[in-house]
Amino acid sequence: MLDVTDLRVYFDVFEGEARVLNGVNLHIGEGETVSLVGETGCGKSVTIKAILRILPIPPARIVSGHIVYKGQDLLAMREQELHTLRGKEIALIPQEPMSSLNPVFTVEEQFTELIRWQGRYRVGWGDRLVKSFDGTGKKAAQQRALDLLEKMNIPDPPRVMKSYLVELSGGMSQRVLIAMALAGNPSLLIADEPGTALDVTTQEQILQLLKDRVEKERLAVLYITHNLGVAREMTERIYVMYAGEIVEQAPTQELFRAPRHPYTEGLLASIPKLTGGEVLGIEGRIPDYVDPPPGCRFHPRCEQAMALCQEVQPELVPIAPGHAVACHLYEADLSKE
Amino acid sequence: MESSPALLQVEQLKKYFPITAGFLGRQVGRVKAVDEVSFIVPEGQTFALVGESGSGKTTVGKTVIRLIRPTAGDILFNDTNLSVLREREMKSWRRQMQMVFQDPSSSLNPRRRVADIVATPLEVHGIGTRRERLARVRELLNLVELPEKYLYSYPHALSGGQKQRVAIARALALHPRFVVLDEPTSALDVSVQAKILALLARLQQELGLTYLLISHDLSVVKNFSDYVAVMYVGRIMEMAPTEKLFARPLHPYTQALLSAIPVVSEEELEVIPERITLEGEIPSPANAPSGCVFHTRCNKVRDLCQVELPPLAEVESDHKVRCHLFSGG
Repeated sequence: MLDVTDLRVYFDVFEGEARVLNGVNLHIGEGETVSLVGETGCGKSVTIKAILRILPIPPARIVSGHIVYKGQDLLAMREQELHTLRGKEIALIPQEPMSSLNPVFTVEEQFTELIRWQGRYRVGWGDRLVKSFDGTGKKAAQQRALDLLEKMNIPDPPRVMKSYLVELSGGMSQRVLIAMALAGNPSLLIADEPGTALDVTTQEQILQLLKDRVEKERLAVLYITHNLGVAREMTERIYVMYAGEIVEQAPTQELFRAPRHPYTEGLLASIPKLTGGEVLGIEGRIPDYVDPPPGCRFHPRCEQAMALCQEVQPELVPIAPGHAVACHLYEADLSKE
Repeated sequence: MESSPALLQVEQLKKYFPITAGFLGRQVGRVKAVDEVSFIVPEGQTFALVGESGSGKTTVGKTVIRLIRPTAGDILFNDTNLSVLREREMKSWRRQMQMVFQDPSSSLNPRRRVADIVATPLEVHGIGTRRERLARVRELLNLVELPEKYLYSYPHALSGGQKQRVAIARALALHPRFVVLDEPTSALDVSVQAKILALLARLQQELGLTYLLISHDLSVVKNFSDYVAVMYVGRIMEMAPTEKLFARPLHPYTQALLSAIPVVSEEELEVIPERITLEGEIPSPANAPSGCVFHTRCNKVRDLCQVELPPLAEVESDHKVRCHLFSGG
């Protein structure tokens, strides 16, 4: 359903050319739940912005690659066509619920506007006049908004409709955002760090809600997160991203059972476990995108780095069904067979 | 069951903030941020305060070192009651108590260099000559494993982990005995978090520090604290040595908290209670529910809970719970 192939996105910054995305490949099938896991600065936000075509161009530049959604190449589409796509086919639940709603309008005003004008590239005064005399436009939108809010297990939808952002809690605004994302009946949902800005018990509620909705409406979801625990709970497949590249991908259970890439192993080892054990970190920091390390971008921080790693960028090779790693440690194994 | 003497003893600590309305500033209510909180921190140990938004944990942290003045209650630091001291009497005590804040990007002055930031406590207390202070700053950067080349850098040139090391170096400048760590790693990535926690653990060992760790992350708390108190809307709901609390969480809220942790392994799933999804929202401490503050979301609520606040009672040796299920209600 969504195929991202060899996506390269560079940013023109003061220091030069920041080669942020260095050939990203993603695939999401119908009804699949997939997560893109990585730490700050790895390029996950740039990836989803590229998919939604909301990257600021300039300074960003899509250098090469394809993003194919249901057979259509998104990179070749014009703004008018993209407007029919965003929200109606692919929807985004943004990060930080408290900063994503417009604070100057009530939920009702924002939500009904979204519903009424969804998919339209330009809304002229003529259209607005017609719709307001029409009567049904606004009422129908209000009803739809109320129905969606109810599906979010919100206890008093009419009250929430009349509220401003400042009157809503983090959990509540997150629910409103999810409702808004589902308003256009999308086939693909992109959830950007759902629950990260929320308390643990609220996050739990929101994740359960998402799981529920996704199942009922049989949506495909791409979760963006830095929290491996959330990825484990919510998705069937995981892509691990580092410095603009996918370094490992596997079905969820497989990834936790047998992580192969040194970065994945390092990440897992850094998470404090309830069962105790030493907690290690990963030395170093993410590379400078303007002057990235040659060869494998992770090699300066890798304890198992070899001479080859400084010269040749490893390719993503399959090592088990559905499980692929971009690391010379495993290429070597394969060539021996 | 404390093996060492108490360095800090907090008794019935209260912090209420007034809510004013109208342009004359009439007080119309109170935010009961911290309500009747008591606990003991033995020397050389780590005591953790765990809770979600509005629990009051950060306010407790700031109040025990007198960044905020308590509304009521006693703060006994080495047997001296800090809550009755005047501001200028506090100055000498402040050398023994320091704090590391959550977000190093906002706790370090972006317009000052690392060396100046770390030397600030020394300047404030008039310690040493410039040369001596610089020597001490070098010593401190060494202690937190930050290369000397960053001495004259500005904070924006450093990564999150490095900035937090600077914050820790600053906190240790005066050889404090007690350090409040307010979510020290929440703003950092997981791979960096581990290193900072390891650093803090090593420093505790080497310098004999006593920590008050404030965190919402239970996995961190389990691995880095000796005692835990779970707070909810200003009150302590459960308190016990860490091992005990995690092995046998008694309070319904603690159980829900533990069950909600997104764990990364099967083994961990087995040590936490089965998933409990709480209803409703966390109440605001400006408008706390009657009776037991948790009753509006409790999956084991009974009639009594809506009316009467249960006392914090010792249910087993060193394990206290605030719940009618356990205090014969």
